[in-house]
Formats: sequence, C-alpha cells, structure tokens
Amino acid sequence: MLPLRDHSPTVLDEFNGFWSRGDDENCPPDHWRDCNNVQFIGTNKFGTRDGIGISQTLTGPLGNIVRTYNFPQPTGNTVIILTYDGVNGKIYHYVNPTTVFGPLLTVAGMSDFAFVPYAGRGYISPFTSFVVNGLNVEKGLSGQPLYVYKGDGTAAFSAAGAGPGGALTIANGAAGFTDAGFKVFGVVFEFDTGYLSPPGALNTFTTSASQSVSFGTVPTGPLHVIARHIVASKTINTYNGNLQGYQLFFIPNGTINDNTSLFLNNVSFYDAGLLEDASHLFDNFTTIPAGAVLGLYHNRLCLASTFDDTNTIFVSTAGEPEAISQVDGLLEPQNDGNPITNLQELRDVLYPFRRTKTISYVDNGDVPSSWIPVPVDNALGTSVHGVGTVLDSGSTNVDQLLIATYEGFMLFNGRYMTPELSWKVDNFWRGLDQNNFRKIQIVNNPIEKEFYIVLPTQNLLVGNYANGMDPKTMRWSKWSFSMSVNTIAIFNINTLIIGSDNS
Amino acid sequence: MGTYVVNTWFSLDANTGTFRADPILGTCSSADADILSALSHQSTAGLAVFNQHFCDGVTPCPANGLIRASTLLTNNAISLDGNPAISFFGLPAGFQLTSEVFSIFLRGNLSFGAGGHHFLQFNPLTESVSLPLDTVPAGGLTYSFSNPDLPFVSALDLLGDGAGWRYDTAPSFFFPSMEAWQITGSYVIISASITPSSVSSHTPVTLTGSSLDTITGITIVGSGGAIGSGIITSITPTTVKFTMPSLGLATGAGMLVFEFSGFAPFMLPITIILADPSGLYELIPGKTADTLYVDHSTGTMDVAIPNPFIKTGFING
Repeated sequence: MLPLRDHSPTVLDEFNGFWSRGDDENCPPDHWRDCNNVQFIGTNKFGTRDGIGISQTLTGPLGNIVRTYNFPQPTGNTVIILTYDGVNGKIYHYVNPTTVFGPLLTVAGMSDFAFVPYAGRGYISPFTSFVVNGLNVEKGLSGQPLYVYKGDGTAAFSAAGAGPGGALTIANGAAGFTDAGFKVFGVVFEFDTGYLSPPGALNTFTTSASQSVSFGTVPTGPLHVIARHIVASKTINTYNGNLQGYQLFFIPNGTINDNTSLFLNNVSFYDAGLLEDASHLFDNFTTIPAGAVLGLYHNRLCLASTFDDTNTIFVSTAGEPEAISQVDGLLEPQNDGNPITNLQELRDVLYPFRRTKTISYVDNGDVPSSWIPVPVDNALGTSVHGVGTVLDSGSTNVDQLLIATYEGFMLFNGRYMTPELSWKVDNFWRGLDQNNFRKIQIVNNPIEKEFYIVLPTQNLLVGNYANGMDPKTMRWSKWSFSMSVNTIAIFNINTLIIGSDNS
Repeated sequence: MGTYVVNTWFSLDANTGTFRADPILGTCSSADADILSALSHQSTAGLAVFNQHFCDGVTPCPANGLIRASTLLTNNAISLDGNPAISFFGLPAGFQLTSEVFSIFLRGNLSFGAGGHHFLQFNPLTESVSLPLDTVPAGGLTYSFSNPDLPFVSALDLLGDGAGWRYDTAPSFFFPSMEAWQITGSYVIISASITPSSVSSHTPVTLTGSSLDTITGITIVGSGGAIGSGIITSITPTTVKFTMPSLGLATGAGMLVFEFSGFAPFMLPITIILADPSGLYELIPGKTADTLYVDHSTGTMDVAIPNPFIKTGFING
C-alpha cells in the first residue's frame, strides 16, 4: 500500500485488550477503547470468543440457575447448583451432564447460598440479600439452619442436632467392676456426619465395685443417628444436684452401634479409664444458624453473617465442623456496622472481610475466642463471592488471593498489591454497581491463564495473563451472551461452566 | 402485504439548496446541480417545471445541468392501500418495502437532437442509463424504473435524496415539465413469529439480532388479534429483553407474532427466544455459535455470538 504524502502508515501488530482508564484519547493504539466477545489467542492474537453449548443432556435440565460451587468428591469433581424461581431456592447436585441429584434442599426465599465441602460432605447455608439503609446486606435466612449434604444424592438436613431427652434407666449388671460410688450418666447421639450431640437423658446411679452397670430405655435418635454413646462422670463424693454440672466422659465399650436398641448391659469401667471428655458437647449449638459466609480454617468450619448477628464469626472445633461452641467458638471483631462478607484462609491465617475492611486471625492453639483480631486494611474488603477460586478445586489459589474490591480487582498475599490488576480498566471497574458487588464471582483458570469475573451486569469480564499477571501486561475483554450470567465454575479441570437465569 | 404510493409533494432543490427566481440568466455557480433558470413550483400533487435552463458553472446558459427534486420525511406523501397519506414517521411498526417502482412523466416540446441524452440521477453516484428516447414527445411520456433496472436505490433514498433530471447536451426546446413523480410498490409489516408449546402472562422473551436498539415498541399479535405491548426491560444492539403483557383469555398455544416499532427494516433476521434460556452452559473451544435452551422442554437453538467487536485506540491521537 502506498502511503499518502506526509502520512506514514500505522501498523497495529499488538493487541493488548480493553482499556478503560482516563478518557478515550488516553487509550494506547495497541489497546481497545471498547470491545465485546473477543478472546485472546496466544500472546498476541485475538478472535471471536468460543461459543457455548448446553451442559446438561438429560430430560428436564435445570433452569433459573443463580449459584454454583465446585464440590470435589473422592470419585471426581462435581458441582452444587442453586436454582431460584423468585419464590423457592432449590439445591441440586450436578454429577455429570446426565446425572443430577435433587432437589437436595428447598427453602423459600433462598436466593443464594454459601457452601464448603468437607470430608466428602457439603455444608450449605441459605442466605439472601436484605436492604439496610439503602444498601444490600447479605445474611442468613431467618429461622434457617446450616445444612449438611452427604454427597450421595440424599436430602440435605440440618447440621448438628439436639441431644437425647428423657432419662436413662441404670441398674447394676452382672459381676464386673467399677469404682464404686455416685456418678452421673448420660447418652450422646452420634450422627452419620460424625457429629456428636450434647449429652442427654442424664441420670444418676451409685455403682458397686464388683458389678458392672446396665442401661435401659436408651433413647433412640432422629434419622441420621447411627450410634449412641454412654457417658459418665467420675465418682462424685458430694453431689450438688446439678446434672449438667459435672465433667462427663465417654465410657470405653459404652457404645451402641445402632439407633434401635434400647439397652446396653454389663458395662464395666474404672474412673481411670474415663479419658475422652464429652462435657464440652453441652456448649455446642444444637442448631447452627444459617449465615451468608462459610469458610474453612485449620480444619475448622467458620460461619458468619447470620440473620441476627452479622458481626460474630462462629468457629467449630478442629475436625468437627458441626461442633461450634456457644461459649468459646466465637470471634468478635470490632463491629463497624458492616457485615462480615467473606472468610478465607491464606498461609495459616484466617482473613475475615467486610465490604471495605480486612481483618486477620491466627490460630494460637487455644479456643477461638482467645484469638486476637488484627486489622489488615481498613479501606479494602470484598463481597460474598468476591474472592476467586482456582480451577475445579473450589478453593483459593495457594499463595495469593484474587479479590474484587471497590478499588479494583486485586492480588492479595497478606496485603493488597497495588496497582490493582484491573488498572487498565479502572473506569470500567469503578462504573460497576457497588451495591450489587454480591453478584461478582471470580474463577481463575491457570491452564488458560485467564480470570473470569461475573459482573453485576450479568456479563463476564475476562482477564488474560498469558503475557504476565501484572497490571501493565494484563489483557482484558468483555463477554456478553444472549442470556444473563449469574455464576461460573470450572469443571473437569478447565471447562468453564456458566449458570444463567431469566433475569 | 399491501401496496403503497408515494405521491410527489416534492420541492425543487439544488446543491445550493435554494429556489431561484424566474428567470436568471448568466453564469451560475460551479455546482452541477444548480438550477439557474426559471422554475415553477406547483404546490399540487405532481410537479411541473417550465422554461428550464441549466448551467455548468462556466458556460452561459443554457447548458448541461441537473434539476433535483426531493421531499421532506415529515410531508404527508405516503399512502398505504389507498388510505390518506401519512408521513414517513407515521408508518406503522414493522413497515418494510418489498418492491418499488419510481416513475416520472415528462412532458413538453423537447428535443435533444442527434447525440443528446438525458438521464435520471438519484445521487451523485447513481444514475439511470440513458433514457430510451432522445426526444420527449409533445404529448409527454412516463418513464418508470424499478430495481434491478437501476443500481439499488431505496425508497428512503428517493425520499431523502430526491431525484434529478440531467441532460448531457442542451435540448433545443426548453419547455418541459416533469410531472407525477411517484414511487409505488408493495410492502409488508416486518415481524417475527414463534409458535410456542405454551405461553403465559409476563413470560420473559429475548430477541437476538442486530441493530435491535432501533426498536421502540413491540406489539404482540395472537390468533385472536392484538394482545398488547411487550414491556421492554433491557435493550442493546444485539439483545432485547421484554416480558409478555397480560394475556388474559388469549393464553395458550398458537402462533405469536411480534411487530416492531422503530426503524424495523434494518433489523432482520431476528431470533426469538421465548421463555427460558436459563440453564447450565459450558464454553466449548472452537465453537462458532452459542447454543441456548429455547425452553426446558423444546430443545435448543443456535444463535450468533452477540456482536463481537473491538474499537482500537485513536491512531496518533
């Protein structure tokens, strides 16, 4: 091509994506003032984005999808899905394109939910948005508990549970042995999720040194109770009349491994053999209120933003996600009126977030209520789905978090890295509806070197870091579809799945 | 399907955009379309121009030149199916031409002589071939042009740009009239339809296509007639979302026709996604279209990936 006189041709041989910073004239020639539905190919090409296809081939595929979570199971990666028709929220378990279990749970008004996988089970917490002083606040649904799903297609049910009622019948059994004396006895339910109820059916009995003890009218429990354990105090010299005032222990060999038998006879034990404490179970929630936020930290389940309390963080006993002490399992960061919006673990530190604040806690080996809150950032925080997950693990990246803050899309490694990754699209990001940041969801696909971000506009913002995960080398693009995008997840290692409703 | 007539309520004009008084002789400006001589504008249907002289900007008149006639889109000049004329902006939703014939009646004692030609010019780049007669008989003659006789000229072009009559040599007599400028043809009301298995009040509907942001209203017509207007909830160049009006007794299966207000001629084809494209999708490498659920009982449909584009930064901006 011959150049016009005094005009040199401008060659565009680099395509570095969407630029929305300053005014249009600030857009470098190798960037785009605007774009839609283009994807990056390699390090320096672009084309129309790939098309989408349906992800369910069964009859009656799910519609009105508002939320998805990865649910890794021992047999493979699956997805937990919430559908919402404006009245009822229903949760399904998507195993593969031809197998969907559910509804596992139906709750009126459940427009969103929090979820964490744990030991093959899933913990589900229904929540929705409430308008408080003109701002959307996400918190658990009133009167709803935390639910547990066993991962096998059966219905989800309320986590934790009450202890037995009534009173145990106790008598001397056949010849055996005990430390003779007055003791308190009780029963603990064991659920199929591993949860142990508070002791119940308490009663007293004076044992004889040369005889064992037999138990009758052992209460049976509700569905999901798979065993019952007899607990006992050590010998009490002076009984004060308070059945719950004594430390109780699991009796060795004091287990009934079913939920039907009404007696357990001829149990012998010495006080010295009572080693496993059960009295702390009295302090646990028997019904854990639903919250808008779930997280895992040091093998503990963490829950926050219940309907009645958006500031307290409930932390379970390590290894017992449904055992949350009402006494010392609570974290109480300084209340600034904004709810807890997210909980993430990074490098052995628990980071609770509010919409504009970040705090940290470190497990000191003692009970959670002894942990000390440390402010990390008093200006930057995130929303309920504003921390990115990686691939199909459903968890955060190992060494850093990808966080959607009001200021931008940022890397967090214990502190927020500036400039933000969304530096090039700063105008665009700041134009998003901050009151609907709850709709933002982030997935990181390191294989494709791309972030996918669901926007409050129900479209996607795509960040490509094939040229480096740096504010200056990130390449951005916007994707739109002929349906609304509510939620995304990575399935089967690196397949992006998109959930859509009719809004 | 119907017929339309655009009767001339044309005004005479030229590149300079002004009428000239009668008569002006001498050298005109260099604009080829300037009308120099006497033009008589009749404010009746049809147009007669007498005593024309033309100027090429150099040669004292008479000489080559162009006389141009056009109309205003606000003039009541368009008659549908014999009904009273309406303006362009009064056309019904979805109006689109399916054929057009432009005709003009030339009258006058006009002779071009050997080698002379005359043409109809529709814009600076589009002109008829040399008209078949080099002499317009005293009794007059109607010339008609229909696509594809001409390079494509839309009725809208004719309304907006008008048409001109050009000589390449001066006729030996100068008493012509150009009458009965007229566009006739057939039209349809543009619409899109779907026959759903069921439909209910307030069902969400999504349209996909291009230039959809020109839609200003949607009328839904069922087998029993017009049902009501769709309530548009969002609109982009590629997607329009609206909800069905209250259907009342009209609820049920059957064809639904959506008639569109706005500059509808530019927006076909339109894809209708009725009810429920919600669901679970996955990105498929190499796929060149989006496959959506039509609803959850009637399968899927492929739609184009909506409006892929980039706008580069300003070059040397």
